[in-house]
Amino acid sequence: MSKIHRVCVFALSALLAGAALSANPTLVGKPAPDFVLKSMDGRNLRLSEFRGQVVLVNFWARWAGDSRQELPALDRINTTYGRAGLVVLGVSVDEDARRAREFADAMKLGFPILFDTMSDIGREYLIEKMPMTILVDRSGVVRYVNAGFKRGDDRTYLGQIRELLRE
Amino acid sequence: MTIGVTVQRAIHRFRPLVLSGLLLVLPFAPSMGKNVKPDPDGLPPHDVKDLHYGDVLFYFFQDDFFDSITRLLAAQQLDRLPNTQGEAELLLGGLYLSLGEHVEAGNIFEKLLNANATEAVRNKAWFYLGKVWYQRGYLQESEHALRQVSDKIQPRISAERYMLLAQLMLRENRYDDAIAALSAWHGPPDWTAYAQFNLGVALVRKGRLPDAIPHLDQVGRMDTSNEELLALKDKANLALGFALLQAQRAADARPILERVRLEGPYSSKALLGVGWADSALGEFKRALVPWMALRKRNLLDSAVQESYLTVPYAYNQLGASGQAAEFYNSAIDSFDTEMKRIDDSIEQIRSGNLLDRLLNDDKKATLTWYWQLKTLPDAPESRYLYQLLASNEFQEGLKNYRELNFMSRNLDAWRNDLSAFDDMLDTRQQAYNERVPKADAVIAATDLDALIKKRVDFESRINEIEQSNDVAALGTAEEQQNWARLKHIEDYLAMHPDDPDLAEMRDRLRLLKGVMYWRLSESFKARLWNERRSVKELEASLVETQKRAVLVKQARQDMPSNTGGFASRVTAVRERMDQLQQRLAALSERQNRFLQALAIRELEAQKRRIEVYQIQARYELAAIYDKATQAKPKAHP
Amino acid sequence: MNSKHRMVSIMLRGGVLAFAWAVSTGSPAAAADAAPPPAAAVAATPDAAPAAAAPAGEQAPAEFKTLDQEVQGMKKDVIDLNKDLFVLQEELLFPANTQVAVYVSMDVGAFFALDSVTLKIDNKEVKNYLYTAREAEALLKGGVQELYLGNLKVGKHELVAFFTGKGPVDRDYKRGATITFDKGVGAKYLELKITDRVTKHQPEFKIKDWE
Repeated sequence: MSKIHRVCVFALSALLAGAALSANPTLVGKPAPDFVLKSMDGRNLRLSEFRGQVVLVNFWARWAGDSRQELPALDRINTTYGRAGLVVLGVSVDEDARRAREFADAMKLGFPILFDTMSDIGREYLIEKMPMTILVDRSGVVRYVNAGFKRGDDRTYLGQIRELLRE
Repeated sequence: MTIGVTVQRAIHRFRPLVLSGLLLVLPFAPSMGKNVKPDPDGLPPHDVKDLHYGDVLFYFFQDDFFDSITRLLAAQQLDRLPNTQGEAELLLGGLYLSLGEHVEAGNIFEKLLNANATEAVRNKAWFYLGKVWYQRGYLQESEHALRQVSDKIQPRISAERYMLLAQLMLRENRYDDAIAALSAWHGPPDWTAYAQFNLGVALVRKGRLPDAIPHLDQVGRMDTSNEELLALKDKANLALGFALLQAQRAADARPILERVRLEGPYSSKALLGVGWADSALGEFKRALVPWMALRKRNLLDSAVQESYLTVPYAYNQLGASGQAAEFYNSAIDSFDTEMKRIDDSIEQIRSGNLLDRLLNDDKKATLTWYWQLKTLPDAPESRYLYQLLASNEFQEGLKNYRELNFMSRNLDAWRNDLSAFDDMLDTRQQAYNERVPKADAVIAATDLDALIKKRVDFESRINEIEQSNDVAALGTAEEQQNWARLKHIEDYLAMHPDDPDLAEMRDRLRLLKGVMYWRLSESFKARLWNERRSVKELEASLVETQKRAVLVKQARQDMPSNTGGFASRVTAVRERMDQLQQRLAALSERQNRFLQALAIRELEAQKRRIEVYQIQARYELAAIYDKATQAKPKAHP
Repeated sequence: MNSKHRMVSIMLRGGVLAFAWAVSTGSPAAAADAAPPPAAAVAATPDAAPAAAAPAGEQAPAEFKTLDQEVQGMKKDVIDLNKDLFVLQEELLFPANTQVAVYVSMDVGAFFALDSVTLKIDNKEVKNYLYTAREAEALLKGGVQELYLGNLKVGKHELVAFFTGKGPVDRDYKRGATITFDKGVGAKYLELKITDRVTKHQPEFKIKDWE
């Protein structure tokens, strides 16, 4: 195997290991659209104020069945990595804020739950498939877009999170 | 050149806190600290002196220094800070400082630091300037700035100032100066430790070990639970221990080295030193204890590398040459492996660039090699560079790289806006081209002044008519004609007053005139009222016309008469952007290569050290074999 | 020199290497709220650690300074360009003769957590802003927020604004204010001041027209 070839193979595998096969190639590498929403505990939270930390933004809804599985997994991630500089934000795109609130309450999640009843933030983030988990690096740039959720996906998130935390 | 982790944390906290101190100089600044809730009762009153200065502060208080400075410069350019000029300049200086623009900051402060500025302002400005110069390695400038600070300043700042000066001198190898400065210095207790450490080190370097000992010892005995101070304590003990070792005072060195924490960052070196102490005292068996423990650790640690040789050395001293030889062999093999690993790492770094080019990565020179090194499952490589990565030089370089990245993204964002401007200007130009001639036509056609004059004349004429009861004036054309004719006849008759033939005519005239007059009088009032009404209508339409004229003039003004001006500004700004982004790309690449070079240099240095060890190992091994062959009985004649 | 002494001398040189790394000037941690400590640097001992030697072919530390200077120089240029872009954008989008700018400021004697501000001009809602804790605090410290930038024709206009928030003892507040103003040919600046100086602990909206 020639040196160049070896380097190429290495590069490719490194790339594949590192980069998520995103369903949304257009948002990755771009600055995350800023937003400010009211959280369940009454605070107004603005995404850009978390610059310097790694942010996991999860778009969920009551009607997106996989959210039921994903949210507790995210809660565990939040507990572990919260201290290491990770911020987890849950954005509900449910139009019925009251029901969404009850749903979230029942789950007893340890991270802020925000409500985007007008769905304009969802649009800016080009959400097609729900739920969606986006990872934003310390400089505010979208690095990974994970559309949908199935068991084991949280392990992928961990890899992405660890990489971004190291920067 | 090594610097501890403490400095990195300090640097990260450095930027915003530079300004917090600065802001305390400003008259109305409340306390900083995000987690501090304002005192419930008794917040100081704020009177907004300049709206736009308040706008700058809004960003500043949220640590958005880049946005803050952009707005401040814009506000200054647009003359929007009439009441806050002085404060704005001070803030600008501080912002430049926090963004690392020490040249600009220096210029501003030097301008500000004239006799009129209060001493407090001056002192603070000089002090912070000095700090930043120091951090960036501009020692002469730093000393100059620090020496401008008078003693009439807060004790904490004064203490830090002396500390900085002392460190400056140490860096420039002016040991005696440093010793003098530190010896006379009194500062806050938590900093005394560092001062003592520095002093101790300076004295050691000057060869004044007896003077150094009490200082280093005191730091080495310090009672603390603060992580950073604990690390300093270790350092002090390590430094003292090795200094004593070098001075052949192994017995003294040993207990001091044992103070170093086993789980701390300096434990490997300490273990090495303890072994040396034992060895110097001839206690080779005892020496093996720390050295064997050390040998089990990661070979990437330089102390561990050394232990690979000191262990067989000890065995040799104990007469166990067989084991010594084994260990030497093992050392040689391990060193080989290690050097190969280093070669691989170097190769990776070198090919980092090559990689990007191969894959046509249009993301300007990313530091992929750096992140890869840090995240490879075979992470040990990164430990080679641990010292380097923690070094000031590398961290500053890395920070530069990140800043270049930030600037690149900033310009990219503006680029989008610029194309929107273009669209806007095109639309405006079109609209302008359509509307301007229309507007101009309207304005030209509306000779307001003439209209107004007309109205004024008209009104005064009517007043005249009313005053003089000039009923004929309001007559119809026919009536006026007739009246004129009558007048004419009257005049003729007046010229021949005694002509009897004209008597009948005179009577007739009198009658006609009377009838006419009577008729005119009857309608005079109505007609007058009519005329006045016309005037009113004229007035109304005049007002209307006036309004319209104003609107059109207004709209005409609204159409930027200098659309052409805007277009050329946008072009100019876009050109600058292109140039800047080119420079950014080039600089990023250079910065990347600089960092690569640093890393490679470090790795090669490590490799050389291992080589040296390896050569030594081979040499000692050969010596052992030699001895063994000599010891063999001469079997054959 | 027998092997022992040679060994020792070499080892001690190696030990000196370790010593060289050990001997460094320290830097104090940031104590309490003090301004942070100076950066420390090490001058290597004369028995130079290999790290201090500048190897041939790779860049020497002097390179750092010139690169550093260039990066800092760039920063200045980028800042200047940003300033020009900022000014250009404002002149293009909000020329002085139609510009209307509404600012929010706070002057309260008692703690007040601002939650939101809604702004209506000529009966149309033009802004509804949610304040984060950080932004609210910036206002408390004396910052002034540029809430709204817009364009209005010359003449009379009506502005209605109200704010919501929580005062001390968690009391909810919602207050409003209105003003009719005249837009002339120059830029119009209006300040919405949240203040409780008039009635203590009762924040209210005061509108100031900056003629």
